[in-house]
Amino acid sequence: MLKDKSFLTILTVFLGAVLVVLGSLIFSSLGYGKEFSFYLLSTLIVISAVAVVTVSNLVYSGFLLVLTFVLVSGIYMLLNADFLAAAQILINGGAVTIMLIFAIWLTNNKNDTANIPYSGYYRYTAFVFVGLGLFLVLVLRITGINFNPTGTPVLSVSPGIWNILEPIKVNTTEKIGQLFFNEYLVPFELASILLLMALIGAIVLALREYKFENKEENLKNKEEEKVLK
Amino acid sequence: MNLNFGVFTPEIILLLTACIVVFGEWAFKSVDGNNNKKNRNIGFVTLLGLTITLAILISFKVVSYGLPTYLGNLKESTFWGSFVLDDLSIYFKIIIVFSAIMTVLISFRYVNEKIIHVGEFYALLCLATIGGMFMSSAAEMITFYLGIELISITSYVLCAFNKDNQKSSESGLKYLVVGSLSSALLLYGFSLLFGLTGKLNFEDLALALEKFTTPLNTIYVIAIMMTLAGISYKIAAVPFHMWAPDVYEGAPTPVTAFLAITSKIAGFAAFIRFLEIFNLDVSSKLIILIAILSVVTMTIGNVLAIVQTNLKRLFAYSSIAHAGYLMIGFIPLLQGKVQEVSTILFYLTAYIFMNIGAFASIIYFSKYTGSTDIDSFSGVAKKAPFFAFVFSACLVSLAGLPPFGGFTGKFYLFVSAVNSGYTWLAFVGALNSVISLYFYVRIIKVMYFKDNKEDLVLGLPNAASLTAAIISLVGILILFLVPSPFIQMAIEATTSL
Amino acid sequence: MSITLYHYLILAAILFCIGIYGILTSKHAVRVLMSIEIAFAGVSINLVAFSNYITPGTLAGQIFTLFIMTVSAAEAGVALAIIFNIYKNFRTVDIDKIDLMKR
Repeated sequence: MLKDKSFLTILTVFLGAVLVVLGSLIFSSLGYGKEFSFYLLSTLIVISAVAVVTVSNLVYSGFLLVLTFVLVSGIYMLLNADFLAAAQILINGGAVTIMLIFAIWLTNNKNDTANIPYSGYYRYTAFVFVGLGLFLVLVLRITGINFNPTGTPVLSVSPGIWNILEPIKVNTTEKIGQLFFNEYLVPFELASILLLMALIGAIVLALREYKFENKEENLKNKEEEKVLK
Repeated sequence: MNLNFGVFTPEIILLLTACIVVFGEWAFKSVDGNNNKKNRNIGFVTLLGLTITLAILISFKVVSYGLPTYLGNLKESTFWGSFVLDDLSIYFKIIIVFSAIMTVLISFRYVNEKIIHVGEFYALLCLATIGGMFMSSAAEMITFYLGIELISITSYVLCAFNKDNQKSSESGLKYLVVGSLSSALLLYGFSLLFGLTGKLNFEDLALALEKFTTPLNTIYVIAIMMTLAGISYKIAAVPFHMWAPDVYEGAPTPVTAFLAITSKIAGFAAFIRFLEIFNLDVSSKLIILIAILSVVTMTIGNVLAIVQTNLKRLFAYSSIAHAGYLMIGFIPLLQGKVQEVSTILFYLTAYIFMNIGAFASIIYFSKYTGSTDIDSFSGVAKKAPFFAFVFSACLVSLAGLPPFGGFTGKFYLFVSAVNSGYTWLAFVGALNSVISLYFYVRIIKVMYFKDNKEDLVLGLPNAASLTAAIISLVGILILFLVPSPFIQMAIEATTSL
Repeated sequence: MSITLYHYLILAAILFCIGIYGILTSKHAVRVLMSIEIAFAGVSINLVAFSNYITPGTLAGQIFTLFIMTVSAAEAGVALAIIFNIYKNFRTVDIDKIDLMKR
């Protein structure tokens, strides 16, 4: 297994992720590393997310998605959301991505054209629309930067849009539990219905079919098919 | 904070029905191993559950007329503002459940012949209906989002339900991709709205958003655009209509009917709920956008429907066009005349009957012709005069001609547009109805006046789809002949807005 | 320069745009799903940041994020099953090849 390069890559990626999360935690706990950990985490998140959508080997991008989610959970920790960070690692980093990676492996076909990327022009156009259009609009509006045609300040962050308050730390796990069974009871029950539905739906679609319930009939049917051939 | 779980009685009963029929493979297995009998029993149980749900909803409606209640005061149970049971949501739930009943009726035979996991099929249909019901009474972003996702994810599964069929799988995948993209847009819009106000409740949100209206905040505009984009995919309005033709064509025909009717009604319920949060300053600016989208939607739907040769695809474009007509009804709502929403409610009621009749006929004919191409339907009128007549009536009604309910519905929509000062919109709508007449009448012409080449043998229709066809025919006739009680009901439903 | 709400919002916008870009430019069906997950991660960061800075102490945004996680897990499960069927029927997961119904 060690001969395979992908194994080493994956191992390095995981070790790197663990180190980054631990390091950022330590820095944060020391009290002066919040900026450091934010910039480190966000740089790595952006790099790995870009890699997920551009790397040609899909298995790599699957594992990079795990890395992205683990790093995002680090961001959640910086935002005082400890329970959410744990849930993110367990659900998104663990369950969802593992399912996706299984999907990649099970649908692997050497002759498949799916891994050949689109032509450059299409990707550049998409990049211009999304990266320059949507992204710039969002960022400029979110940060409230004004391109003032007459006034002196060209780039200035206006504080007016968001009603920013000082963050406070609360014990999220306990409070989330209470909120689930009080204020967010209806969505909670609805989510359980949703999961039930996903269970039924996924099983029905992924089940292997036999045309007849009876095994003997199935065999007979196969024999008939052979005779016909 | 009155927690009365009685408000969930319809949803709970439907959920129980889903849980029972999902075990249908074992629970309803007949002694002699007869699959038909088992499938029929599963279908009957589903029908029973849906009918009980409808009965309870109607009793809610009766309760709201001031008769003594047996569940306490239902309307004050809001569950911290996440769930409302007002007249509008009751009306929407009634038509959603009614359309689900009709869908089950027309799918009896199809399901029996082409679908392997019958129990799961009906269970998912019930669960999707629950999603639609939650959408119509959601008063908070999380419930709203979960309702949309419940009906969407169920629809992805239902579209891909014919597992051996390439087209069915393809339609499931396409719906999944478009649905996920638009739900990402919806969520980003919601997150911005949440960031602006710090509220998730629509009522609190409406109050808190007031201060961003003058001057109109750009972030607020972006949030509105993204959210509207996310919702308008559900009603297949331009520019999020592209999924509809492929998905409708590939999906199993009963699922196509479900998407065209129930899913669309739920989408309109959600749309109305969401448009409520804007105050008049914003909504007066939204009007022109909605008007343009409405014109483009109905024109694209009708013009592209002309060139279609497949009936399911044609009905996809027809449903896009109808989303365009129905969006006219948003304009008075945005002007603050909430009573005029009744035009949308009335037209949706007529829309159920017209489409159910059409889809019942499509399912019946395509069983014997083997395809849903328009040309394969040539000459069926001589063999099955009743179904051909129902189909023609429904098509004429869809085109908006008297003497059927579609005419009344369109008439009210256009009149309300004229009253709101948008005469040109009513004019474009009428022009579009004329265009739509062309392709609807073409189907009738093929059925009645074209001779079929081979000897087509049509069997007897089953009782369930015959019932559905009769109900839809009677429905569109009644909605034309005596529309006033229905309009009155629709107007009463809007009083809670 | 201390970290403010804007930093998180910009990070969220970057992730969201990467996700949308991925959805538009991926041919592999599974990669489309991955891009959707990335877009959802962007939305989640947005919500958690707002929850931290706009409504400190109420956790509304965090709860919303938990529900988004639930939905995305359910969606991924269903999507996986649909992609299996696609692969079984078409022997490919190329979104451009899965196109029987164009007109």
